[in-house]
Amino acid sequence: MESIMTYEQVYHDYSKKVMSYIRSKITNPTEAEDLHSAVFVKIYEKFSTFDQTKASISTWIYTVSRNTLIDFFRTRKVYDELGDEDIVEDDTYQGILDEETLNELSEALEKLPERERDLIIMHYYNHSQLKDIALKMHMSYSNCKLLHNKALMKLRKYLS
Amino acid sequence: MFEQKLNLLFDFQKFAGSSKLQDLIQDTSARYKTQALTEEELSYVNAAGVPAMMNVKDQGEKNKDDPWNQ
Repeated sequence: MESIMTYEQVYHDYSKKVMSYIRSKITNPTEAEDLHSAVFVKIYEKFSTFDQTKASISTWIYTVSRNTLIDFFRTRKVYDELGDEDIVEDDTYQGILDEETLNELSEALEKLPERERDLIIMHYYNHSQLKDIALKMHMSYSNCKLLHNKALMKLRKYLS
Repeated sequence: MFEQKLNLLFDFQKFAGSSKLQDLIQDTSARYKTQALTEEELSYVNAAGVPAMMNVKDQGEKNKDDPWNQ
């Protein structure tokens, strides 16, 4: 279990991660700085009530960062930048957000054939559309959709 | 729902940065990154982005009936 951290330690350890995450979604550096500040203001305000013995601080900070971004995009009504699939405030999956699950995902991905793995990464990490992935992978759009479904079925089985 | 889970995990990866998963992501990026133009290819592209070689070819077409080019 992680040792109890002070706010200063949290800021020191997570400031760059938060900024890097925000910059992966926001290209404007001024807006990114503003959002970064907003995230740490929220963390500061809630810090004393967050029980580090019961929940992962890493997951909490990620959730605050993500929700701050969602609020920002909702205010600007630019859903395309975040992607509809990203605007999820449901806490159902919060429990899976840890390094162990990411390692399980990478093990599952390693079991896939290279093309299926590449497709999954381009679609879910880079948010490329399947039609664009089809062009890059020199296949028809319908084949790309089939390959995508095949890869999803396998991943679902490996991760269940 | 499963796709939603994948989206969330990959999004969390951008925050948490598992090195194992990042290696796989980088492998994919390396396979599908856009190829940069070489220095020679760049020299053919003028400021407007129009390859200068096109102009050379056009000149050739224009001059084909020029007796001095026979």
